[in-house]
Amino acid sequence: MKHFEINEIFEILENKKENLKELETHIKVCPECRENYEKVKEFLQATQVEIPYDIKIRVKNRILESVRKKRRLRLSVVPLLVVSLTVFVIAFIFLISQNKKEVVIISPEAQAVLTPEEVLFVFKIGSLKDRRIYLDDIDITDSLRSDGNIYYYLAEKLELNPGSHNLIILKNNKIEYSQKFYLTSFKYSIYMN
Amino acid sequence: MEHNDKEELFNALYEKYFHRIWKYVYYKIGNREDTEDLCQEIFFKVWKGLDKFEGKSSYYTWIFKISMNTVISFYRKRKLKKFISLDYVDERYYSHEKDETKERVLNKIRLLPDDLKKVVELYYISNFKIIEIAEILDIPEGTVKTKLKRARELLMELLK
Repeated sequence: MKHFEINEIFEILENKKENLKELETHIKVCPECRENYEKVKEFLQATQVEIPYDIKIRVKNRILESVRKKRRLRLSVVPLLVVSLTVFVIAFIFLISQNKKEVVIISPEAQAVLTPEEVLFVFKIGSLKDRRIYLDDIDITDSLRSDGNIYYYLAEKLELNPGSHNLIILKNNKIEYSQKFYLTSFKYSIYMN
Repeated sequence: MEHNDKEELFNALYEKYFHRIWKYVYYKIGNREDTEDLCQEIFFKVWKGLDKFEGKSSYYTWIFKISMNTVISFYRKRKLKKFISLDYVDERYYSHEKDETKERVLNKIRLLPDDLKKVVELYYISNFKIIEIAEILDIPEGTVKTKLKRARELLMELLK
């Protein structure tokens, strides 16, 4: 009597071979093959694990929900980031442009009330190109003295009366800087050095 | 990859491989709660990795390797390294969830030499085809078949 090999029994029970009827007939009269048949069957059944359908759905839903949440968050954050970045860039450019502003008036302070002796104009101007400086309506640009990039205004030749005065700097004929100050005395002198 | 295309691909992979991965993880971990969490972690990694997947291996090889690594990390986190090396499964999980006959049979797989055990796990637990196992283990198909035959014979001896 021909026995069935272990691998043959496996393949028959795994539906990879079609002679199941032959095997079933054989095991009725062959205790050895019947034992192998039972063990293989037991093994194959043990490896069959049924997964509850709800687990498969539940796990997938949790993954996709998590993905969607992150996506929603990303979609809502991206415009915010773009706006923030834009604001930052604008602010940065503004600050840079501020830093590039070449006019610094040390004295007089804005809205300051000064005696003539206190009047000293110091212009930290990189270049006078395209700029004209007016004290009241008088162009003093050509009267400035320079020390590198710093320009001083010596007002000996200019008699300023007590009262309100305006300092205006034009760049390309547009007002770049404007400041009002007050003098308290008729007589004044401004000395450098 | 467009979001909708990605979701479509993910759904297809999930439908095709969830069952196999779940069985593998369940066999390795031994309880449904952790298996469910790990499967979620595995497929979330799959989702995240889809954009970077270069196609150097097939999807099932890639996903299965993610699964193996995730299971190893799980045990590492729990400082149960010995369970990995011995392929031991925490009996506490099994005692109330699995029937004894089934567990006795599955424990026989764990007694097989490593190379045979891997083939049996992939073939009978995760239901991969011979050709897929060859790719996952990076060995020829003929070698897989030989190992499978040898493993079946050994299993029968162990089960008797």
